Amino acid sequence: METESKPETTYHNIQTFDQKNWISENLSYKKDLGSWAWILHRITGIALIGYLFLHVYSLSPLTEGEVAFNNKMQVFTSPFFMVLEWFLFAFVLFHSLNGIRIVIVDWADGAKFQKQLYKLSWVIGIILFLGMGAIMFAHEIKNLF
Amino acid sequence: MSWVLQRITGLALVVFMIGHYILMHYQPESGHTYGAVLARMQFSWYRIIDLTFITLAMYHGFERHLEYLQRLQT
Repeated sequence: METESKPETTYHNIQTFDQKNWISENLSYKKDLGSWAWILHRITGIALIGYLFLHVYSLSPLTEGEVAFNNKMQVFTSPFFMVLEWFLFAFVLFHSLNGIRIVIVDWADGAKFQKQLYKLSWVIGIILFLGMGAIMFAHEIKNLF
Repeated sequence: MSWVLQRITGLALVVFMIGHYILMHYQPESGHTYGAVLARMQFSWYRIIDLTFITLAMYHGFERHLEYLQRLQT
């Protein structure tokens, strides 16, 4: 008598992720605009969470008194960190604008025009980077010259 | 469900981030000296908002890792 048995779920037949060649496989994958958006979103996201730790750490000498705080602040206002601040602003802009694009794609039927949205986010981002950057860092720019 | 929270926290972080940037860079009155920072920290609302901001950012940043830990448990 034939017993109808459900086939057990096995994962042996699933093609395993090729760990040896994953770099070349990923690099050879043809990337469209959306792929680049995903890659840049991931890179900027990791960078921003790393920056968050540095940002909170920079306030930690508040518990060690004014001298320690001023010494730390002198490090964080050096030209090297000023340049990093501009990078940070660019990363924040890309991550938030592309994030808004992702929300539109998910919740406002934006998948139909996700490529246009990606290009639009770049245009808005560059305008905001130059415009808001000039306003917000007017003090720093003035100090440069 | 977590992806929905990821979208919501992301949108909230955009709002927080705009406020943070305007407060810290646009207003000349909000100084970055030891006294100015400590004086700001005295306001409980400022601390509540700051803590919310950091908590949301940490959740938003480590959501993937939380998901991975949950998957390890089951």
